[in-house]
Amino acid sequence: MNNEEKSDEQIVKEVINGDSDKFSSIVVKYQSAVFNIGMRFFHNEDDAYDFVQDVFIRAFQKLEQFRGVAPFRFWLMRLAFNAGINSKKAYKQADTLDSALYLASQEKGPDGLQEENEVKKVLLNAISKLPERYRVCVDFYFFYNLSYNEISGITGFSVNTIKSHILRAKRELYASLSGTIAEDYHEM
Amino acid sequence: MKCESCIEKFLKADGGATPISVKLHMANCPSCRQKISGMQTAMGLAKESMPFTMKKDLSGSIMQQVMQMTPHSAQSVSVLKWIAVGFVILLGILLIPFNSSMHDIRLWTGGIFDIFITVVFGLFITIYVSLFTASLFKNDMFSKKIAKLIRS
Repeated sequence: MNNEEKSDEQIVKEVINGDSDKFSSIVVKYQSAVFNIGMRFFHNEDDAYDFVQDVFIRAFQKLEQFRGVAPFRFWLMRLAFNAGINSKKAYKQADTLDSALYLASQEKGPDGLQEENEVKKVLLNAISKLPERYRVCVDFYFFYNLSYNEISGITGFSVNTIKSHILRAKRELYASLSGTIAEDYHEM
Repeated sequence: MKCESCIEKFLKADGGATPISVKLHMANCPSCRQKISGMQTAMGLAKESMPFTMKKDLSGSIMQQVMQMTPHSAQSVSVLKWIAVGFVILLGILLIPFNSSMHDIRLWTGGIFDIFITVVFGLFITIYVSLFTASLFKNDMFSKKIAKLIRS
């Protein structure tokens, strides 16, 4: 059985048993997700890359604390979220990046992806209107496909708080999408 | 159900599940059907990607740091716990002569019981010591100390 077929929990077990090499598949699988959490806190790539390194080193050191009660990805997301919260650097950053513009400048794919990018731009624009500390919750909901309860478990915010912010984001998204490309997109 | 409350109900739903009442309304209302489908498409597209694109692959540099760190040890039971268990086993053996039930069984079975109990506890202690030694040998520090002792 290769690493791709194994569950995260099996791989973690092997790493805990001394096979440190196996940790690379965890890094490859989740580095982008952790990078995105970092971007929400630091708003710049360099700090987000440092954040990714820091989170994975911490994860490796604390791996024995993973009890397997919840899936590994929740454990890692919680670790990353707490690392972001605890970092004072995150609050020192005064300049906020316009997510939508950032995305537009990063992704210049084939024409077929244009509509997808438009939809994502609208969504990111809606998220950017939310209070900063809750944006990562909305990211967890829309991009990481987590439920309200799972987000609450990771962030420690109450389910009702998360619900209300996600509802705000959904309303923004709905208002932005009305009569725009997304409504046409599903017809294509 | 009015179109506004249908949309509101859809927006309040958790995850991808659309409430039945919303589905029923959608079946009869082309406008809501189009709007909700548009929302579902948008939310579905978001799930296929991440908001920010990671341009560098950090797995190499992270693994370089990880490999320089001490690997996790397979030993999961601390030495203190092993000593505590050993103490409990020893205490159990020492208290046997003071147990009245054991005394009755000994009278009833004669000398055979003494042989039996000696063999059972002998096995217990052998298994315990073997497991304890094996677990310590997995610990790098302990094996280094043993190797050092052998060399000297």
